[in-house]
Amino acid sequence: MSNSQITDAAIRAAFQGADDFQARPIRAGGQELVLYSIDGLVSGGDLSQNVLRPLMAMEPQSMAELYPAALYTNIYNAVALPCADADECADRLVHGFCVVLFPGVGALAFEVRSAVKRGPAPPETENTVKGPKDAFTETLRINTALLRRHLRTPALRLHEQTVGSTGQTAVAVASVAGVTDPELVARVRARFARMEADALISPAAVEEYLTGSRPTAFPLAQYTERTDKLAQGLLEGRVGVLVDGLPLAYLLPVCLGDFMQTPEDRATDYVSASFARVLRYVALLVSLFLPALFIAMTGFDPEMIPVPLLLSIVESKQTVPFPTVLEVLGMLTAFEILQEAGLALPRSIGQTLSIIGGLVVGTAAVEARFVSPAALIVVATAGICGYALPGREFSDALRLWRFVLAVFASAAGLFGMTAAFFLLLIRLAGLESFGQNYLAPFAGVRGADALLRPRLRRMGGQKQ
Amino acid sequence: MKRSKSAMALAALAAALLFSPFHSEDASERIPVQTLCIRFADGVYQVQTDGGLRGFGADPAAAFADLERSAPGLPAFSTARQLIVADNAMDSFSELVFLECLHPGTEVYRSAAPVDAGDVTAFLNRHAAGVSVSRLRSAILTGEAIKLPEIAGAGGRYRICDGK
Repeated sequence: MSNSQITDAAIRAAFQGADDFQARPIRAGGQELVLYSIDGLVSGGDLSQNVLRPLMAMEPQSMAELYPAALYTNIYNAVALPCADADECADRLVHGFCVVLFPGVGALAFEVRSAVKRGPAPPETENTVKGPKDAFTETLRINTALLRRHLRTPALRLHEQTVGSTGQTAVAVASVAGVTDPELVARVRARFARMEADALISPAAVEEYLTGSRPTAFPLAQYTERTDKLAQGLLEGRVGVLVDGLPLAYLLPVCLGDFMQTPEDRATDYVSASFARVLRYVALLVSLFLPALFIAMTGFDPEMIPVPLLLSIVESKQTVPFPTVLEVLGMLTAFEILQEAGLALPRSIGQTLSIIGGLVVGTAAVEARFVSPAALIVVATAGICGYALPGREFSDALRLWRFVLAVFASAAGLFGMTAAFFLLLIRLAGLESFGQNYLAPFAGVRGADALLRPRLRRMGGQKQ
Repeated sequence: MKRSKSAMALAALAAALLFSPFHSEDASERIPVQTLCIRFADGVYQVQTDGGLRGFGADPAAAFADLERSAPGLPAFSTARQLIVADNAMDSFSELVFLECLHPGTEVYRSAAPVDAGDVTAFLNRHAAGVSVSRLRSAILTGEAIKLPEIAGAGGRYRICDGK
């Protein structure tokens, strides 16, 4: 297929002002051709060896003969694609191809992508002791290759499409034929097709466009750095989404139980894994309720606290000028600020800041009687329990509701705390992710499977 | 429509907070109480806590109110685990049991002789055998006769006898 409408002027016009755009006139087969590439995106060695060398060695012939010979015979580059128009030439160039213009006949694009890219490295947040250590990278093709190494089946489907009018971000929707619901795959693909965005550069953009940007802090798509986790999710009937430029993948649909599971669960025996999972749920409850419970019990229902403990709390609060509510809310806020400061700083300084902020300032605050030790312990315990949750986005949402429960508890004690909890339950029950209810695992008898890890021989994928 | 719903929700929340029946006291102001002792002496009812606070009054309610007024904080009567009623204060037993400041789970004992509240607390924490306030309330209302266990002893050495 050739296209005589493609001209040198049209291709150059697309990259006017781009200094990394290279256009080199060459003579091959007795004809004057032009080679285009983007410096930095292409591998000079591959371009020279696989494209230029065989091109320049071609026998003299007409342009009309040269074009098909280059496409089908003489150029032994792995990927050779004819371009339909100048726009496609430009698109190929920004995707790491080089383009050879055969004036009056057409243009051919050869894939000679640069090998300079970050290779797979261990995951940063989802670490396991026994599991694999290959995490996703920013390059889509590397990620799809990593996935195929875990799922060596022809049934693995990778539907690729481009999103974003400006960024032209490549996305891949992964599923396993015979396991994943085809309607779910079609829904996800349709969601990308309808997307009106300049580009998908940030994870937040992907999540909001994919899940519909609903006003909720709870994540409606689960992200993962781990290839084995994505593979496992696909085998369970979920859909995976890979985005070029982001070193992670998304799994859909998602529910609360998914955020309480870690890859380590499948790396250990089911008894230990179940115990760890139960521990996480306990940590979730402690993280959510402990500050509010402390406020409610000390302020409204002190008779619920054993008297020796109450004496200790009262004694620790002597000379502290702030009421318990302000203490707890202030400490929760300080905890959040400390976390944000640690994220923004370079890793070495961030760790030092965490130690200074947590130990020195906290200790000094207690000794200066700004806060009572009891309130500090309560907030610290709740914070640490929040970190025990595997899903970071889910724990971020819970941090918000921790404040809400504390405020309600300060207004109406245990009644207020319970009312806020019911609000939270109603909110969670009303969330759904691609047709799956957020609290789905806890409906009916399958709730035990969410809490405990079933034995593997009793588990299986959701076959269609 | 959405804005008006949000405004109504906020107004309802503000009203709930303003007219809320819940009342809190900061923990630093509370004085936890473990044991209450009440007796009748010199024509007045005297109530004493294990922390040494005392209140006097013409009736048990007045004595409790006096204790609350004179305390350097807010006595948390609801935290009391035991209430010891001296025999000479039994005339107002019914009124005492129905005081709202008492927790329904507080265990009630009687004593022939006055007992020091601070002294007997450790003993009763380990040998709880009293009858709860809620049980006594229902017994009084139904006319049921109940024996209260009796505490005897002094100076850190106590024993619980079958009641009468």
